Amino acid sequence: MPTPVILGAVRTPMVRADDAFRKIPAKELARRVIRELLDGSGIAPAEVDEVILGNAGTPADAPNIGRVAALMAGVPESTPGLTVHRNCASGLEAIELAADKVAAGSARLVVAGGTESMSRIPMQLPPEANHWFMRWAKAKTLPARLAALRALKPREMMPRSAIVEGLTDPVCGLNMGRTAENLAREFGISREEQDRFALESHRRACAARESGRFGDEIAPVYVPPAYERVVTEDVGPRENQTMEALAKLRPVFERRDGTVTAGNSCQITDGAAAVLVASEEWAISHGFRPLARVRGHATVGLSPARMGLGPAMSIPVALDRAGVSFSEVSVFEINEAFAAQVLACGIALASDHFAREELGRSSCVGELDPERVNPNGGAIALGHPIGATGARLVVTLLAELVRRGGGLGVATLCVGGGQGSALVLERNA
Amino acid sequence: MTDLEARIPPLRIEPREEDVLAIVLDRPDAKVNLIDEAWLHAMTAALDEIERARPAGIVLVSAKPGNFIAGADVSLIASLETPADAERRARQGQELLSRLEDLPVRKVAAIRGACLGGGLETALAFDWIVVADDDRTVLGLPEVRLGILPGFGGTWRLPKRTGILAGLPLVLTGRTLRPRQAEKLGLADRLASPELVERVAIAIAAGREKPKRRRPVRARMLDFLAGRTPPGRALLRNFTEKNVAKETGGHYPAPPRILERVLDGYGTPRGAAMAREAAAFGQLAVTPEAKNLLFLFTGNEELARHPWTGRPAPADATTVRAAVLGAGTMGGGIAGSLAGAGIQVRLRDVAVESLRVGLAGAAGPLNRRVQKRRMKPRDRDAVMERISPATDLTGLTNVDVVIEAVPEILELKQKVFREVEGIVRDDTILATNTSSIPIDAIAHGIEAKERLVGLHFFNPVHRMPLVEVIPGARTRDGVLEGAVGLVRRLKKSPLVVADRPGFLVNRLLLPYLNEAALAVQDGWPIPAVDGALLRFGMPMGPLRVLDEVGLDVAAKVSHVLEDAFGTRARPAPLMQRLLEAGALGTKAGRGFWVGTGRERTANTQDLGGLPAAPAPPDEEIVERLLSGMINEAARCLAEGVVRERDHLDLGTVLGAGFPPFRGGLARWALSLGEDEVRRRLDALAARYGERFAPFEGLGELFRNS
Repeated sequence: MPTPVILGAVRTPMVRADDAFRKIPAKELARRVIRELLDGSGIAPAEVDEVILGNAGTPADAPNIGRVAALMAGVPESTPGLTVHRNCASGLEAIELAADKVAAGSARLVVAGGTESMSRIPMQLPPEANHWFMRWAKAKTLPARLAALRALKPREMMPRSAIVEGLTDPVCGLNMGRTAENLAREFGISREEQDRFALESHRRACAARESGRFGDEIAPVYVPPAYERVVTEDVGPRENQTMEALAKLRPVFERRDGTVTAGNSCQITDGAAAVLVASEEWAISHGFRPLARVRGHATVGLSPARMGLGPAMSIPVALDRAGVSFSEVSVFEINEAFAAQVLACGIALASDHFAREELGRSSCVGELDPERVNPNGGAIALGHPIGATGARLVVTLLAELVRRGGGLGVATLCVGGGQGSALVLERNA
Repeated sequence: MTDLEARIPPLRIEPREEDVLAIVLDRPDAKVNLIDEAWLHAMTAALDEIERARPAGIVLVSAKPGNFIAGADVSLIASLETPADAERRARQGQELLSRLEDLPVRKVAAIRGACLGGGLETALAFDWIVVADDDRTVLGLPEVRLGILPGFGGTWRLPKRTGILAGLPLVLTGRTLRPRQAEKLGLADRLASPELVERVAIAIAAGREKPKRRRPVRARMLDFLAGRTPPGRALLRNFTEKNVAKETGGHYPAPPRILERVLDGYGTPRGAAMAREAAAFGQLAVTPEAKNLLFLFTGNEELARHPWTGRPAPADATTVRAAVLGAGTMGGGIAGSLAGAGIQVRLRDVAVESLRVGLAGAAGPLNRRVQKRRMKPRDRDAVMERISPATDLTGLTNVDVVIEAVPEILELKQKVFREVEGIVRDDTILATNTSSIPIDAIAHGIEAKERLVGLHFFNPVHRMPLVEVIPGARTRDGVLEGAVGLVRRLKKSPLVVADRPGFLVNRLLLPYLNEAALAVQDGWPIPAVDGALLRFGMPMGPLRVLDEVGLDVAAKVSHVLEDAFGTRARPAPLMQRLLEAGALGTKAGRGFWVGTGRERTANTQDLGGLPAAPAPPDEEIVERLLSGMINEAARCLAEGVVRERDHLDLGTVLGAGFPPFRGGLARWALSLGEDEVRRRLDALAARYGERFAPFEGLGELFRNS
């Protein structure tokens, strides 16, 4: 069976929503990374067997954004393009799917990644408005039009934010933030612990940015159409972040007794990331030294109300499939949807009780060493462009593995709706 | 006319269903249909046949993909010698089309592909015009650009169909219309997808379908007011006359005549309008201006088609990927031009900020077109998406051509080529956009000498039609052809010139610009110098050109020329003085002129202490500035910088802004005559120095070629 490897990895800067990328659609962000992957590696676009992108916002003008961005990037028309949607794990799902296709022999070289413009997720009119507009379109005579106008209810014309709608679970009715509050209570995680975690995320991201470490993974984005601006660095990490400032923020999701604030949750952000997945044989015969091997991956389901435990549930399964042990992993990239949720995962992984009750194991998975988790900060500082984040984690993880001269790495996310996904990569020393 | 052409006529009659006959335009052995002797002859015969057959309707179609009728055969127009001869020709075409118009059958033109000039005039004689809604179809009457007017009834029939307010500007400017614009103006009665155009036309010709021809009441009312009421006509005439005067500077005789013909013909019976149009055509066709414009038109076509290397150089179709090294003004412009032609571009510079500036430069002209609604945002985005910026040397392994556009420093250019020559494929063309460094000097420092060629673009790239193509001593033939083909692909004019200092355009431009600076040094007022050349027909005065180019850039080229040609090319000391004062031109806010916008004032601050001389008459200024240029042109011809005299004309018009109506530098010199040019040079040499001494081979410039 062919072994899937990753040849190249690149991402745009992560820019908080309504900032420099405000006018750049998700397809353009994706085009930039796809084109840079191909140009940067010197691979002729015709060699690509498929392009797979994760995206959650589903822009109305590019529902199959994987296909659209591929054509924009100069990938030939004969190469198919696909979009996958697994909420927050969409970008990771794209890479996992690419690896599976390579392993199954149905593709040799796949561009896989994710893209999201949270800035451009539209405000929506409720379905009642559709009904009214259709009635209006059918009203051809003056009396019919007057009747239609009389039937117009302003309440039904109120736009709603699709972001807020999308971040509310349709099954359990909870906003994502409330699922984090659930975990904070269940695992007894204090506000201060969460704020301290958030502060550390900013500190690490700022250090990485200052040292130029992100330079290896970022393709600068030249902002069309006038190109008056170029963005080379992430816009999100705050150098002057303090515990005091974090402590002043009011809980967003449970006003009275809550602990989850805007400061200890991920930022809403625009960005794209992508990698080249190939079979090892193809890579070697074309003269490439792979960045890493894909060792295995797993996606699991769990209660939507505790979706934040997704990493804790999926990591052990993925490691088993990869045939490696928890202690061998040198770097974890865990998406920081909420500080409470990442901290809860740490407690859960180290708990024998959790292992027995939830994972069907006799003993705990292991202690999650904070030094090995998100060494360059996470989504609290860098932001969470939903469909892109999974790919962003992989890009950052690969750069870290290269810097460390090899090792095992895991990229993992919790997924709105009650899922978890984890991918295991290995770079040989 | 060859035997073959005599046997196979340029059009034929074919039956279609439902008693409809088709006139199929299909000029033998050609890609486009043209109106020439054979066409007129065959069309007359076709009308005879239709009159005999009396079908229910006829349709006019073309068998050429992408072309309906390209217009009248330009060589036919160029061969007209007397006004009477030209008028007679116009009458002949007019009578043919009037006869067509009067045929008592339903007549439908099914236009698919370019339909220009006499082609559109022919279509206008049909009852209905159906137009293919695709990218290759354009309609227009571009005669004015050749210094003539539409002589087959176009000045009367077009405004009749579209109304005078829409029609007049079309005939006056020669602007071409896309199908949707043509429909909007009422020129097209119906659009149809290209595959269906003929079927729709047949349906109309058979009487099964009748398109609605309904222009908005408001438009019809305005047309009536402007075209049929005396005050409206006076207002329209006045307004348009002013605009024409402003646009042409009074140098072009065609637009005023067109205005007169369209206005006077509007709403009058056909017979009288045709007679006057033919007379006006007769007068215009033999003017020197028309002859010059016709010469440039054919010359430009030849430039693209000329078999430089013994083989034809077709427009390149194989280049898929290119790299541009250096994202300055030129690099950005070149990248934009390549991307606009559908080529994927890797744009490389050392700094992210430089790349941003380069991208902004490439996007600027596109954004302006979008702003003016001449381009869809989506089309602009598609162009810009082809440019992929990079600060490293990746993305070069697949490119078909590399164009270097780094600053004009020999060692830098060599370094850049040495960096990439090992990375790119071994058949990749290496082009250098040098304006003054010889190709052989650059080749000296690199390995891949036979793949190196000069491609000298002019600033601003998106507007300047000329590109000098310069083979070095070691350049392989295929490389030169590839470079010429690439220039054609960019829809620019490739002029192959020898690898001599300054190539052609800068070598001719510099003595002219330098002389302007010397004149200022003698105290000639700046506004007088620039004004005289503007009135001569230059798009910009020489001192203003220096400001735009930048005095530092001009100085660099000057020194190259001085090194090569000695004292006659010595830069004016005044330029050095301005340079030292930091007055670099427009980019510094001041040079010879102060300011950056449209309104500028002469720079008195940095140019104090010059002798004050009264403004000489225009003729004296023109003589002083342009005589040296003629002298230098004769040297270029003698040295083989250009292969033929015509290239001096094309180079100066397309590359240096020499007024097109004068036909170019050499043709203008010819119109003065050898004796007059010698007299001028002798007088100037006596007064200003040896740099004006007539070149011993000057006479060659005036030999018949």
